[in-house]
Amino acid sequence: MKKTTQPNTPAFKTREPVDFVIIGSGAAGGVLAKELSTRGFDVVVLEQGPYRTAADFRHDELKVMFQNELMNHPGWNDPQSFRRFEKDRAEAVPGNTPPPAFYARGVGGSSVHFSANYWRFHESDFKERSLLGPMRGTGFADWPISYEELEPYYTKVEWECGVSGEPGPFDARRSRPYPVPPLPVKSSGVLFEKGARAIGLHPQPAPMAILSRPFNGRPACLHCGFCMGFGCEANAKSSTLASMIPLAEASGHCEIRPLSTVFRIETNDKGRVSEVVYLDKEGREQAQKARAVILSANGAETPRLLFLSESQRFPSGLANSSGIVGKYLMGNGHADVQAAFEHPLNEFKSVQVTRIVHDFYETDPARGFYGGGGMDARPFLDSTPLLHTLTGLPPGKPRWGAEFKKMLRHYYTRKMTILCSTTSVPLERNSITLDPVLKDEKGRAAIRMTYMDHDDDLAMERFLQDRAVEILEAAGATEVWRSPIEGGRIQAHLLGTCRMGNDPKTSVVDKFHRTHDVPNLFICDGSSFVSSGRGQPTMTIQALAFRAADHIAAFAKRGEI
Amino acid sequence: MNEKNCENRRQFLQSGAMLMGASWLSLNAPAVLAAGRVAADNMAQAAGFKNISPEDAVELAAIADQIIPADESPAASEVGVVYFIDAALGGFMASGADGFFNGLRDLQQKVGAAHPKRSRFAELSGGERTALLKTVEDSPFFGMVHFLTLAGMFTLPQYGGNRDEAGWKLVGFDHRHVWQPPFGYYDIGHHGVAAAAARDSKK
Repeated sequence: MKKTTQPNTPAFKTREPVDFVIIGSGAAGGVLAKELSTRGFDVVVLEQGPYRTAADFRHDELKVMFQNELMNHPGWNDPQSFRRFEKDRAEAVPGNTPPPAFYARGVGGSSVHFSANYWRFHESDFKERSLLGPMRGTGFADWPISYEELEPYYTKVEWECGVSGEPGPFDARRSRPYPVPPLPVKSSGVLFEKGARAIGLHPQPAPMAILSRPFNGRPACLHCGFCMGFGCEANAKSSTLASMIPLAEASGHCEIRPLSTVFRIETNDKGRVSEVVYLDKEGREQAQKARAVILSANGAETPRLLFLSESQRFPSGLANSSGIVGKYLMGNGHADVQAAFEHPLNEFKSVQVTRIVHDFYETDPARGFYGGGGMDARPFLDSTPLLHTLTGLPPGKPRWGAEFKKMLRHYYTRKMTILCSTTSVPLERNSITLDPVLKDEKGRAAIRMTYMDHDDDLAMERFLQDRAVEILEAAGATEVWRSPIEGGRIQAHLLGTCRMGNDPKTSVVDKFHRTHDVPNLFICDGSSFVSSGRGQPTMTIQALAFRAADHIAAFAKRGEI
Repeated sequence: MNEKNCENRRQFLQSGAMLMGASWLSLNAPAVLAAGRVAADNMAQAAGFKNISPEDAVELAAIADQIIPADESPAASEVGVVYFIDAALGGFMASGADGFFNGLRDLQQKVGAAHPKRSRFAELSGGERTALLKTVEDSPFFGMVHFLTLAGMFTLPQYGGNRDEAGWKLVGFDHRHVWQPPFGYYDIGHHGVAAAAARDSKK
């Protein structure tokens, strides 16, 4: 399964401490591995999934979309459980069906199968609590860092990972243009733009982590259409697998260990992290010694590992003196409006999104509730044929028979969706915890998700859905229908569960991603978020990772770890 | 993977190699093409069913053809959907196979209850088949057959269904590895700059 083609990939000894063990090779872990190893630090990356490369990715809808090939824990059943409220009993979800916490397993993590929408946050995202005032009963708070501090790192993501785009009218200040222009507009983008302008909005090209032109030694997108949920067979999608991991391995200081499932981070009698215990690809227990550990396992697996690493010294879980590890989970609200048009759009071609609308990004007190969001045009449920026939047809119509077959013939090429993505209010009740009963096949307690959206999140979804209907009608749709808004659904954006802050009583990591409790344990992934942004978090996860790497490297050089 | 699909893959490999000259393409192309040939050979042999009796295959064909009937294009059973179901019951659906066949027996009992001299779904007339399935369309068995029929129609032909890409042709999906703008009716005329850029990148 080890696929590296780098001749100088090291093989570190587990009993000799490396500078860093990074747990997770996804959007954040991949960046940290590259940034630290290319500065000469010895890095071991433990990844629970396999080491697939572009040559392994297929247009196989059955395996990828319906058997979760990129998401299953290879070799064993790793179920999760879900409930909406703490008073409910969590129901187990088997490991081979879409799990509540939805993420890819494999080198590159979810950056391999994501749709690659790369919106920067706005200045306001970092200080909304100060701008808008408190929200009773919530964890609404400012970040300890500003947009200005993060801006150089957003630029780094765009230029080092590779983002296609063009500045839009509502964007935050940027110090450098996009490295490559936007991807060619699709019919959904043209119609969305036409409808949005007709109702007075200001659509803009979508920033996407998919290359519109060859860049950094990687090819441009071939517009094959197998993007959402699939790995890119051309390496044009800027996953860390395509962009960062090859540079990390080329440094000669980074060893990626795929199929390595961590079940415990050990601490010594000084309260410092000493080694990471994991099962290797043969199922043997290993323990890698390290001078420092960076946890980048995602907003569900990261708190799970902290809980699994409890000890006498850390009875409520590692780095959890605040008691808020796993809490304030934010998933972003998502609502869709679907539409059919007279002529073929052929949305099965090319990337998901080519146009977005950010007119409603900022919170507007006149709307009567907190929140903001963005809208985009995309194929979504009509990306691949089976997904469309099962989920993309208008409601209230036959699902089999002659009439159904006529619908199959008509709709697939003529449809598009506007996806509305919104803020999530941070709530203590929304959380990742360990299920008290459910375990995976190796005996690790399973992830239990508790999640129900705040009323304001649902109100924002409804508001944007109404605008999306107006846009599609103005664009000349022959039919428009909306999916019900209900909240409490599975989450692909796993944010806020180890939030960043200056106060050790109300946060898990400091502004440099160092845990308040353990000086040589860092956490950097979606769990660091204090607020949720407007629905496209990966760009910010990666900017945080580039910034964290600068600080962590400086600490290491100064002997401050 | 049928002939056309292989051809698309080959075109993809060639055009991709042209665009990027990346070594993984040449490293992996032989394996990809060999896998496609094996799948095509298996299809050509039209082997018998492994997990379904010939009698049940007739029943499943009759049910699948209620879900996707013939009109100007073929019905589900004519493009290999029963072969797909057969493979699924020995593969990813194996753990649900007992429940599946129990569901089929329940349906056959309903045939006998409604039409005393008959015991098989395929013995019913077209109208009778439709009427009976309407009474069970919320049952888990119908849900399974419905999913398997659509999965057989619309996933890769290498899994036994979707022969000659008949399912994809039905919906208008064309499986290629490279597309260029314009993609659809509404973006025609919107690619002046982008099209030029694409041409430049090929030079």
